[in-house]
Amino acid sequence: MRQKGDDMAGDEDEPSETRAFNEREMDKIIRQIVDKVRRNYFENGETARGIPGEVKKIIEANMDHV
Amino acid sequence: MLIQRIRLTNWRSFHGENDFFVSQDPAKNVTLIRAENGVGKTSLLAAINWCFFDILPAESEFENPKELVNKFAATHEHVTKTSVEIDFKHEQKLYRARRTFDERTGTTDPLRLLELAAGGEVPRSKDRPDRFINSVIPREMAPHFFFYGEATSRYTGATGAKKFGEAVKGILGSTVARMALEDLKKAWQEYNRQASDNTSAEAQAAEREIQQIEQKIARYQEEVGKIDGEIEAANNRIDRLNQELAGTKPAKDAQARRTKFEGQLAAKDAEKTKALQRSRSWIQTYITAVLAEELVLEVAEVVKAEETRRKLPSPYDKKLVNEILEDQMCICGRPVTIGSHEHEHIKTLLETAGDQAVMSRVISTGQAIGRFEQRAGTAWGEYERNNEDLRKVEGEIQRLDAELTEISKELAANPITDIAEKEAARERAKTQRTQAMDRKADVRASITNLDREKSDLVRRRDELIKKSDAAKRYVKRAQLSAALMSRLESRLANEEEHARSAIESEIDRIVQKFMRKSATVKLDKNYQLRLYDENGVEVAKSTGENQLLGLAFTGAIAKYAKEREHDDDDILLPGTVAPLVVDSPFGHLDPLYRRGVAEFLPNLASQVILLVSTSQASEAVMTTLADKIGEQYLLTRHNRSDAAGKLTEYIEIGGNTYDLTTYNSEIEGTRITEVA
Repeated sequence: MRQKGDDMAGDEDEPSETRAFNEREMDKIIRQIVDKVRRNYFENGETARGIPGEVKKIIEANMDHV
Repeated sequence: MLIQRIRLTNWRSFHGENDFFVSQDPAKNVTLIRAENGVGKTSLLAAINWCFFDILPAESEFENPKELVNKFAATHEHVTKTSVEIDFKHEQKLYRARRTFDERTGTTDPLRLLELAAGGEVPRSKDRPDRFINSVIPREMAPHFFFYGEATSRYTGATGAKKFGEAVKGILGSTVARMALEDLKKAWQEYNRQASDNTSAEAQAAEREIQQIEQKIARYQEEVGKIDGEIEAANNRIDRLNQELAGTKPAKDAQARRTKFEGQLAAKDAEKTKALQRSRSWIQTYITAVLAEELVLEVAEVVKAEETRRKLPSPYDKKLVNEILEDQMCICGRPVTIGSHEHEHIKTLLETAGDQAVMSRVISTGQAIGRFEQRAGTAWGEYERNNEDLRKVEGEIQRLDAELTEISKELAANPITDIAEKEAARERAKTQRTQAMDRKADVRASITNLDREKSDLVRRRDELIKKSDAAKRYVKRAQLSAALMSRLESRLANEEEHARSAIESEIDRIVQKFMRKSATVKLDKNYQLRLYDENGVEVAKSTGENQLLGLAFTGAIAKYAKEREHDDDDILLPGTVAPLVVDSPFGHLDPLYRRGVAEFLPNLASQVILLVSTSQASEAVMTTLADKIGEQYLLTRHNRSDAAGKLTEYIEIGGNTYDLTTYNSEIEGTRITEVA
């Protein structure tokens, strides 16, 4: 089933100011990111250093799905 | 989580081992602990937070935070350690949490967690008990379950709104999602930098400037945070001094008047903001009509003059006149014979008749002119009304300011030094708050300017990047990061809105049932809690009403957390069921509100532990609570000295007499006594 935003998701080589991403796919990525951050939070507490590198890895791995 | 038993061993004022069992009966879910001032109510509350989270109250509410071991035991029995142990049930299992402090080394041991089975302790396999506790009661939710009741009246004004907002975010468990947002932001910034690196030198320079501005903004925001801290500290000082003044008999009346006037002033300030907003929207609505007023009048004159000179067609068209002449029949049904006087007259109309297109243009021009004239006509009336409202509200603000200044002078001149000193301290705190607020406004203005500068640079950089093929790869990743941030933010905002609205309804339900005045509660989007009468006019809140509202709020969030216990949300922590432990919930309340709180609090959590003084446990409270009390204890103060003429303090409960203070005892300190 096509999702809202499917027809607007463009080619990777064609970035555009207003490009829209598939919301369902975005929610899946958000879940992965939050899971990763939560693990870091439980292991290191509120003062845990951020993990933008891990977040970037998740984004890279999902570039073809959105 | 259901607490079964709490054991305090030489904890602060508590001497030796002191156990108390918390009621687990759902029908009688209140555990009442009665104690006079200074005996250990706050220490008991602190023990729970300390055991689970290693958190102690702020120094202002908890004297000598480093003296955790009972003094008498340390001096006379050479005790060097204190511990707090809590047995609790969670998901059908029984656990024991224990934390110990060693005075010799000044160290607090990490939390120890054991499973209890067949009456014995079983070591747990979990290597990090603090993580386990955090999953049972998230640290961010805990302060809203274990709290100091009288402090709930601080949920007022701007600082109160901040606390309300923090509490709602805390109870939603959104910390992790917010940390994820921060990481996404960093990833987005990095992709943007990589995109610039792969473009021209000009784009890279723009990127560098953006980064510098972002650093400046971050520094300013940090400063805003610090200033907010100063404002909060000043507000807390003012709140504390207000409470102290309200509790001092000669100042009580003046303080009550001040609270009333301050409430009215807050309402008038809100009215003034609204009036200023109306003035701003007046400009948007009427400015065109007002500026074009003369031009429109001139156009109207021209149209009218042309009509008079018959240059503009009359409101009938050629087609209609020709049809009448051809049919020889007027639209009213009378015959129009050729050669008749009527026929000749109608023929002359052809000279001024227009076609449909011209007519429609003339009519719509007339209508447009009419609209402009009408709008210009109402504009000035509206302008005057707005100005009048503003003048009126400013006048009232001036009057209230004068009243407040008078009260302050009256208190400052009070012959009782303590009152005058407190008032002077209050004035100093107010001045510090005003100065901090002014500094904050300046810093915020600088941030706004930097934001504008940054937006221009971002636009320039993006234009340059768009032209570069090498940058496309990173641009797409930056766009996805931005889209993910925006999606996560909007999902969080929806969750917060849902929580805000549910909590608002619950507080409103409590207010409808228990508040003396008829009022509706509004917890607005900025978490300002306000009361409105039936005409929609904001109603000022007294100290007692603020405390009632604060308790209603904390009860409402405990209930909301309970409702979310089984929520399977991918970005938020699920809710939790935890005991509501409230120290001095009835402080500033009159008998009616005490009865109200005694009625609604037990219904909002599975277990409720109330720490009250004898004066707070009034007849009204005890009658209302009677059917809900499952366990009851007394904190008795033991003194080695003799009474030396002091009055004996005792209490009668259920036909038995219990000592509140004992003299000639073998120990110095507090002991827990179970009420039979």
